Amino acid sequence: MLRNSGKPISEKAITVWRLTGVLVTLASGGVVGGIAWFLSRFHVPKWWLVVLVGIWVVEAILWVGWLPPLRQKRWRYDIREEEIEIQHGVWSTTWTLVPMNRVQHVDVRQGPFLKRYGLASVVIFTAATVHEIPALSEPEAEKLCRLIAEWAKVADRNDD
Amino acid sequence: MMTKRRLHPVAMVTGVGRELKNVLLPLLVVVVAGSGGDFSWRDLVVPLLVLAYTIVAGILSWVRFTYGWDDQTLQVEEGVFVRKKRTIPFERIQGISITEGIWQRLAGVVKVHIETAGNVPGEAEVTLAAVSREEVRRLQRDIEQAKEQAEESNPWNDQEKRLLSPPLFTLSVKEVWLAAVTSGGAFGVVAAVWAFLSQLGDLIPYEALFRNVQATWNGHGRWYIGIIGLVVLLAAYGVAIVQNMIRFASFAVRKQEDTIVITRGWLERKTVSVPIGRVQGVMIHESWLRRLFGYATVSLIHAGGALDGGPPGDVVLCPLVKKERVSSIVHACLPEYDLDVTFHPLPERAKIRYMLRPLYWLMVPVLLAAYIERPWGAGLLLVLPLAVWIGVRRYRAAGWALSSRQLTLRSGWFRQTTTYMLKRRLQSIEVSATWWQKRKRLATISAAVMPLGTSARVVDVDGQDAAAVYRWLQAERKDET
Repeated sequence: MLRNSGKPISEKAITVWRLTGVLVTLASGGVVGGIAWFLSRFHVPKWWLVVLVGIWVVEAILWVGWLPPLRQKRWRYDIREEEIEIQHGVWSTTWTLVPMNRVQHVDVRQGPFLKRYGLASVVIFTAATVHEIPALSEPEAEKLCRLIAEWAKVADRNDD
Repeated sequence: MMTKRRLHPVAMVTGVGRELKNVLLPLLVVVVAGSGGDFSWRDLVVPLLVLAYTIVAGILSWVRFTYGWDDQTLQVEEGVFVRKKRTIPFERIQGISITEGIWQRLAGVVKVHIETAGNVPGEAEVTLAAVSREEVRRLQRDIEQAKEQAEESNPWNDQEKRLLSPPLFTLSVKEVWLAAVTSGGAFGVVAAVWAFLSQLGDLIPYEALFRNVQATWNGHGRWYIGIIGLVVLLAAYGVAIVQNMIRFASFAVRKQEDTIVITRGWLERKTVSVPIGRVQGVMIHESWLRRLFGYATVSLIHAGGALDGGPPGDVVLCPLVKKERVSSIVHACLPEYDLDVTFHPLPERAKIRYMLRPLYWLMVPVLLAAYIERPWGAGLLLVLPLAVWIGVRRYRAAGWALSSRQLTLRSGWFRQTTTYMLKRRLQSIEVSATWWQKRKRLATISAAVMPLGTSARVVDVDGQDAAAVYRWLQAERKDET
């Protein structure tokens, strides 16, 4: 089996994912409230409401409390002159290998939350796939983007 | 210098015809539903306006569509109000397919579909709806010439190119028939009929129909309904057979220098050219029915959109071929690929996972149905051992093979798919393992090639083996030097 290796992503990612989690749970809270209101008009037994709220609470705990630190801990990346390695996943671990000369272009992306905490994501495109390394510190992301662009070009030239 | 040209006027007819086909059904519904029984000429005003608009728009878009080329680029201008101008450099062209529909045949022209490199499907293609054969030949020659010049390879030889090389593969009439009979197209036709019926929803008194059906169902008419269903299915199957026979008639594969040329079809002749350099992989499909007769289907994965009317990036090389011949045909077309590989099986401990997997989603519905329809519904329980048995077959079929420059993955039983990929065509490799897989030291391998999203995978490979495949792509550069 493949080992755990590579650099971790920024620890601030946990905070960003928690914030996103809060938004998601608020939105789903609205949906759950809607369903509860709808059901209450049909004289549904009370325990249905309890079940609904229970599901919502579990979801909130998962998305805000539990998953963000686990996800942050499991994300690893490693960028070398010849290849990019990414490892992620909580329940199922995925190792991804992209040879450098397959990279077509690289993006740095930044949402409002990421920006607030001085983070950015690097997105790597090959001819067939898209890979993301989320929540790196801004200078790190810039550096990676530049490095990959440079190495991808060099690797490409060697290939021809 | 470049002269701008219009398409042959028959393009107007086909264009308007296509648009009409799209608006006809909605119009019919509007007329029938709008009149509500008593019919007057007023109900015809809107449809007639729409009809007139469609026809005028069709003519205008023909007038405003021009194309032309010089020795480097193809230029197309289109759009009635908003002009869209596209310039396509010849070296970006990935493949050309030529279709002759009935209308085009009457006018003695062909439809040309030009596929270019690009990540956005649909944006990266040009269709010239009606062009004379003479002109297509000239365009093809100019494109090839430009490409040769770009590559600075051996000098162009016009005479040699004109000669039609002997076909590497053809289908006999019997094989066309077999291919049609054993294709899964029947389901497609059933789906189409269903979609059509649901579009006509307003016209057919479904409610009354269903009430009748329910009454019959509850009475003694279950067999009756079953037989009707069977007849519909058989009819759909018949239609699919005819469709496929037309599609695969006089099928021939030729190799012309470094292009694979596939011609096929009756009524509608189609020529698909795939440059060998664009081929990203070879796939062999064996559906269980065809496997019984010792046949398989071969298709090519190529970088580009839907050249063959199928899913993007998929071109059928042999619709139906005896299994023993596959290797030699592919070798003749694509000598780089090695099909005679020995597969590594999955470890024994993966077997139980393959047996149980279908049960996860089958168990609850089957038990529920068996309970509701008791006592006879209990027969449904036989599905469960069958599912387990299929799981075992799937376990036996799955496997992988690795050579210094090629990765091969195989999976599936109903439709066993073997994908051959060259190392330098692989875009990325992913190995993943869930918590359950890790406990048994198993992992899933998936490999991606162009175009977007085409990937082959095998579930529950030994963890060490998966790591070996992963490292194999990693060690690429050290191998080559």
